[in-house]
Amino acid sequence: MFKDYMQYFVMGNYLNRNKLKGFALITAALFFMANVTGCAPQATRPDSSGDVPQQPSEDEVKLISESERAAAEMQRKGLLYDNDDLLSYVREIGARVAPNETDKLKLQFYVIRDPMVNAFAFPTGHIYVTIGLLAKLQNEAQLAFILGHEIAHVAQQHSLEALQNRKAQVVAAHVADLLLFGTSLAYLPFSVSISSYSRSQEDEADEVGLAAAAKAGYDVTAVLQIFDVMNETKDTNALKGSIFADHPTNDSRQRNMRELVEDKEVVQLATAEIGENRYAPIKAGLMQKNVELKLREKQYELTIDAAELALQHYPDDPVLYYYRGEARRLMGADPKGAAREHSWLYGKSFDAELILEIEKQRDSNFTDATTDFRKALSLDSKYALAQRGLGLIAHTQGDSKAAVTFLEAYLSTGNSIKDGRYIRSLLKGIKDDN
Amino acid sequence: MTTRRVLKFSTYVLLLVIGIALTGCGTYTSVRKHPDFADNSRIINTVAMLPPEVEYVHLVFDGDNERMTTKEASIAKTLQEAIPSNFKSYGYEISKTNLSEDIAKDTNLSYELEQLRKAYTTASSELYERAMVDEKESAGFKVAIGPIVNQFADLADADGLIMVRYFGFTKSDGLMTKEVVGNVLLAGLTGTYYQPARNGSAIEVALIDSNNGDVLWSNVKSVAFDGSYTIASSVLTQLPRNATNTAPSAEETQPVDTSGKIAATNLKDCEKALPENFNQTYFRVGKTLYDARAFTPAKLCFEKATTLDKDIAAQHDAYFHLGMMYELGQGIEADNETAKQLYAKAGLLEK
Repeated sequence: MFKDYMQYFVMGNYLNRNKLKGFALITAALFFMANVTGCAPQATRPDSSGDVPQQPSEDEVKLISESERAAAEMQRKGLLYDNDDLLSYVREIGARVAPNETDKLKLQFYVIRDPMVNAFAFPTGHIYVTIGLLAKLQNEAQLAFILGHEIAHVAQQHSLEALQNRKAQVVAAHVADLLLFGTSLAYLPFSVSISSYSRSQEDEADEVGLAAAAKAGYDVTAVLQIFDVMNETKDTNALKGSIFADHPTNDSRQRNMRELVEDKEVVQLATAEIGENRYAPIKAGLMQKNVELKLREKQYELTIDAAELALQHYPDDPVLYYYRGEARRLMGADPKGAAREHSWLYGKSFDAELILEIEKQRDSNFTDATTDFRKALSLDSKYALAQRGLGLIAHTQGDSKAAVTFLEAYLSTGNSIKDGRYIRSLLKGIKDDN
Repeated sequence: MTTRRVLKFSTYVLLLVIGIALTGCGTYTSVRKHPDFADNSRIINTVAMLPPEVEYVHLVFDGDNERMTTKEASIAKTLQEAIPSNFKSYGYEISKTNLSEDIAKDTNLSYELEQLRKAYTTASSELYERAMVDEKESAGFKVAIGPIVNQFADLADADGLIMVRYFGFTKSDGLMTKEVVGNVLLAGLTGTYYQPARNGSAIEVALIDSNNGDVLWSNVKSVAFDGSYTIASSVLTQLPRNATNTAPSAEETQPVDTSGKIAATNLKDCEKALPENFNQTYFRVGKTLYDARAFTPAKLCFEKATTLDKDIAAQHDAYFHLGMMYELGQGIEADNETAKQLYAKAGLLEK
């Protein structure tokens, strides 16, 4: 589900880039907007202070139902990672940084099967962290901060505020809408996102999250390093909607938080700990999974990066060699997909020139992939997927004899093969041709 | 990552509608065919339908749009009945496996389905880089989504998988007013005024080779109303018959209701339908009769369903079915002119 939200954001960008088509239209649109801004609903934030239980406002009811729908959708799409040990660990740290009124907020923590670095919270108290994030964090103190940050969004009712602010933004979005001849698409980016916040809300959540981590006994200087390891893309603007996107930029967030520590506004306990040793096995368990997910999302360059990082820790893992090899093979076999990733990573335009550039590297990609597959087989001679990779490369390079040998060896390895039909139809094609 | 670069289905389908409005029709088509499927060198006998992807949105002025989940569930149910039954009438066998049930029970399979949908989104953006192509070009599309289809094919033991995406919307009064104003304003600049639609729905159906993931056939359809039966049937009107099964089945030629019992009971239901929802009831009863090939009472029910506009969707669906009966000469003499008029009333500009 949240993938869909991300798409809405990207769509927003797409429209922004393409919107200034004609001066007359813009003038007309601005003129129109001037007329409708007066009609924007005036938002009033419900008073959450005092002991008297408040009736939830219409906005709150809507947000809650939207959150519940989104949560159900994530479940339905198989995005919730079902791993009891990991979940109980995340829940334990969440409980440690949660404020006392935990019960009231009904906090629930989930891990998402997503290789992107992200975390988000719904006003219902559901907090989600991705495998991509967990695989990138360095220690427990950083996880404590992330969870504290997300809990702050829930506790401070940021979604509700953001929703009410968004109603003003929507009128602005109608401008782009009019430029699209009234197709009513441009405001969708604002309409369904539950977890997008303003800069001041992010700052507030950083402050509360850092204070919560300190209070729970974590080392705050270890937390501050989080921003150094988080930049996934080379161009952070590409990552709208991520907590490490450009709002506010990671640098200024890090600066703000450092000031809090220097000014003694956040003070850690004398017994403060980093929790590196407790975090290490958690991270180790997720590294392979993270590489696999990146590959499945066609993030070839990121797969290679993540596999190399993991290989520093586990130099004898055939699976990691296979993933790196497969990413290289796919860069050769799917230059369009590789170009799409590259343009996103480096903020370049996705065009024929870029695709051509990647196509030129085909042979070297296949050579590197072959080396990786062979290394995987040298570590585990029965590693079927490496045989599949070698067979597919041989097939692409026109070596049908080698292709048949490797692919038949792959098929003979047994029941766990998921793409038997594909490989068999490929083999049939090769045999028919000869 | 890939999908983030690809427009959301709903977005691009709506853009497609504009594209169609701008390019005009004629010998152009939204159908895409793999060359091997077009020339019958690739044969598909058994097909299985993947759970349809359904999105139905209530669009409001302040942008706080709402997904209508109950409506989505009922549309999904209709599609799961209508689409396989249409494939059946084109000579395809339908797999006995209920893929939707199997997938719902297994989170790993649910995740695989999500991956498959993403791969299809990328493929589809390639297929529909241009909304309409010349009839001759339509059989030259070699687009594949890869081996990810295999797991579902193994489950359903099918040669082909049917992928369905549906997007529908309904607009609030405030939004309608705003759009009328906006379009009047634009009309002043462009000289063309588009009457905004209050409802709309779009569908994309694809038949995928379950061995190698080739997209063999696909089509998209969008209409300015919501009627899931109509759109599900009309998007498939250009589906080629299964080449190995060219003779219409006995089921297609003979009335199912030989004793006339179904017709008699249902006509009674039709008569006692409650006034407040009666055109929908008439349509439903009419559809049951139609499926039982009891055409005379079915026609009567469809005609009654068109007389009130309480439920616009039911009205459109009824017009569409009447159109089909005239086109195919079911229970009446075939009459293309009348069929065309009825399709137009069903909101289909061309067929």
